[in-house]
Amino acid sequence: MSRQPISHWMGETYSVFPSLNNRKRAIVTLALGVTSALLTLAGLFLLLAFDSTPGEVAGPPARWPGRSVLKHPENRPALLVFVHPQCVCTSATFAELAQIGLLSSSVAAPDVMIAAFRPGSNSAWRIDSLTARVSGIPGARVIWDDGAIEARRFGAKTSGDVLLYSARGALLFEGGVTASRGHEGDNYGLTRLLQVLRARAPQGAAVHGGPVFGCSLASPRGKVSNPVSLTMMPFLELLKARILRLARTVWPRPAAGGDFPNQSVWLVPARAPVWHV
Amino acid sequence: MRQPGKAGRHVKALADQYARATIRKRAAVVDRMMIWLLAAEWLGMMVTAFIVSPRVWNGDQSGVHPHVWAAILAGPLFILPAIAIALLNPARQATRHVLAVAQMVVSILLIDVTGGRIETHFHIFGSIAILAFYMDWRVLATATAVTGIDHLTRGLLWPQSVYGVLTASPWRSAEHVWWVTFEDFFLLLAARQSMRDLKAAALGNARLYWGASHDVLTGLANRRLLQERFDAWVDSRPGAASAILYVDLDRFKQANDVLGHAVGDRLLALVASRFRAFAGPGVTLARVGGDEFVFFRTEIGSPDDAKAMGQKVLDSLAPPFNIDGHEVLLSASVGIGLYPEHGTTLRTLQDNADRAMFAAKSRGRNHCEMFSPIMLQRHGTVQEIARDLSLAMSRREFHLVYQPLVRGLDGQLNDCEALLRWHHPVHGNIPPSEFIPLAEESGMVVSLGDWVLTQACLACASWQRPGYPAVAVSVNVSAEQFDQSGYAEKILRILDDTGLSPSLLILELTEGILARDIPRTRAQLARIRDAGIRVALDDFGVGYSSLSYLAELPADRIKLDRTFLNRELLRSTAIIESVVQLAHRLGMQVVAEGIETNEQRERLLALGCDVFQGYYFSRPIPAAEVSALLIRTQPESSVAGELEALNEAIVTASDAEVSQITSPEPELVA
Repeated sequence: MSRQPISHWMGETYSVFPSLNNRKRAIVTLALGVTSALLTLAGLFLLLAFDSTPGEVAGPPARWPGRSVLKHPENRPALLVFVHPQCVCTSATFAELAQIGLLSSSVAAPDVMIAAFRPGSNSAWRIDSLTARVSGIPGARVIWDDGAIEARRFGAKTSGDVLLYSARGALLFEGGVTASRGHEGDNYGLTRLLQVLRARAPQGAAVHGGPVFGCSLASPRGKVSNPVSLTMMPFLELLKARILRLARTVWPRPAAGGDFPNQSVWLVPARAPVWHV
Repeated sequence: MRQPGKAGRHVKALADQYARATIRKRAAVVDRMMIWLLAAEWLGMMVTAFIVSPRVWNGDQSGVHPHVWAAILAGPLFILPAIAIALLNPARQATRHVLAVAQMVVSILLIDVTGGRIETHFHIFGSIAILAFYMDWRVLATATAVTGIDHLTRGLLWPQSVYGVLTASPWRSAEHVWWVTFEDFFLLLAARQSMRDLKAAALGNARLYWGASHDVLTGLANRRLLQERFDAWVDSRPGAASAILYVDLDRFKQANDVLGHAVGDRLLALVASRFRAFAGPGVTLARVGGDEFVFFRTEIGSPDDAKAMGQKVLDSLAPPFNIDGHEVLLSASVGIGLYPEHGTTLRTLQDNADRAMFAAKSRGRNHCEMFSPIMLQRHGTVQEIARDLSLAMSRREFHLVYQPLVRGLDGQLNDCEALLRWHHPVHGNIPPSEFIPLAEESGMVVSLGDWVLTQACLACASWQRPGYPAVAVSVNVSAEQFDQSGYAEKILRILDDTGLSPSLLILELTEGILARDIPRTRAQLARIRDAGIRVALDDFGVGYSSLSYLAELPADRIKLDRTFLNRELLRSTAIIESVVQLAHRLGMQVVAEGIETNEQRERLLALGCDVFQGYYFSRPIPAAEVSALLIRTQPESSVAGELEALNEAIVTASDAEVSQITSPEPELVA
């Protein structure tokens, strides 16, 4: 047994600010804690708002536009994907689309065209890296879309917008295939796309996929926004819509029809609020 | 080692204290680990954000990606505040929760920053595993709650970002929460087991510490803990007044000898509990020796406070102790040393309080004395005496004197009691009350006792004259002598060597000696009495003996203690009468000691006492004087007249003459 007194054996823990008395210490701790908690919560909400806010969609044409320089393949459905090659969300879109390869051989494989935005033909952006990144998508080919001309023709404004046209040139599917910005994983848009490809989705009007999460293909203001510069109003509108939808899950209204019987519990508004990111 | 009752509770409390201290220490270590981890994660998160999503694009325009901003701002927003809180409040419960929340928010943010990659979700599990180092289920609960709140909020408001579906399925939420809970369950089990081990180790440590710092018999502090408390007090309040009370139980050794060690131990425990009852907070009560206790009282206003406490010690012992039907009366001598006047170290204070305690003992015991510097001088003398005692025998500084015992009926000299004297070359005559305890302490009492016996036998043998009545000699025997194996044989050898008849030797034993280990004592006594040696019970009536001992251990005479003469007349008369009757019925003589007046002699004679001893008849005289006395006295006549003449000579003589009358004679050699 050590000859040290018990107080020594038990020891005192370190003290970095020994000059602060307990009262001051408590005040500083409380102030730090409360401020930090509030700012962190606000920051997390802003980040969540950024990650969960879909990009702008203009609405694609119901039939393949004749003016497009992109040629519709004969007797095959065409899967047209508009991407921004520098956008980090593009990788998530490619990763999700790779699941097309998992479809059975009985399903007609679409002709996958990746329309990659390029500011102009004199841009230094290289196609090689992009080609390598799409190698996971069966039969995919990359085409430069200089100045987003084709994107405008097809009504795509946000990177990650996926359009599926039938062999006859009719729009079957439009929307995003990622859960949120740059997020890979199960998501509603991809599920619907795969259903359409398996011809299991209801026939008739084009199927709306998930919201499109990604960078803007062309900014009318030519300026990049970030979450800090976002106005809170659209976010609050979205929040309100989600809460209302959530309330409806608790007190459901009679089904008003739609693609699916449970459409009334969808949490995404029919037309999502639009703002630039 | 299992401590019962109060001590057990004390150990348990100590174990809790140890466990809390260990948990605090461990928490401090984990706090530091979490601080470094959070700092590293912040750096890692910024690098990851920059690699995974450096910029956000709008056509051909780009800016820093919000994920990079989020990773950078995570530092000032919550990582650095959490670190600051941890540094401000190390090892606190709240700190653990703050760090747990920060760690889980880092996990959440990292998942966002890396684009929700499945792999980064494992960061949550890793974080919870790291937090398990705290071994605190509440911390794990906080971490789980943060993850749950995050997932449920996102799941309800933006279900596709968490579950990949647009509906807020409770089952999907449950599935996500389940995996975290699943992990928590095993971590909690592990933490619980670790905590049990920690508490068991703490209990073991507490028992060890308790054993090392407490007296097991009484549960009081021991010397070590006393030293610790004293040092802690002096360190915390240098110069503040405090007091050490050194308490020594009077005649405890006798009680222990008479009643046995088991009862003696219980008596000590009872004494400790009485002391504890009034000690109160601010007082450390320690047992520092067999029957020695120390009170260390802090915060005394004046020396009177210490004296009042000393009086409380004496008062607390006043009521008799009742143990197994034995009523035991105890008293104590208390010495007080004040800090810092009488010493600045515990050793010095204790030594000085010890000196004061000895002074209290010399005042007749059951006293309380404050230390004074003059005691140092006296104590120095005592130490010198103790040192010289071992040389006194070889220097022939001891000598014997003999006090005559006279028969009541005819005034004839019955026998003489041999009394030891020490003439110190520097300090002069030293009374036996001073050097006998020192001899007992040093173990020298046995050889000294043998010397006394031999010298007394030689003297007695020299007194015998043909035609004159035989005169016996009585010799006091110490417990240490009597405890020797073969003591009876040793006496017979001495008698043989000195040529004294066994019938002329009377051994005076105290009741305490006789009451110990009855069968062994009975056997020893039987051998002595079978040889014709007589046995006297000395100081009868003041010890701890039971009357039944008288029947079991027969003696030839009992010597009534002189205190009976000083007590209230009526009561003492009744007692003496009873004792005399009892003794006579058992065939014993009764000797009355301490006779100083004729009235006392007449009263005791009327009460039936057979033999008298005291200054009324004679002071102790040298052996040669006894011889001369016997020669001067006609056979069959009273020696009273001769003794009276001798006494008067001593009383009226100057000091030098007295010294000459009682001066040591040359040592007799067998």
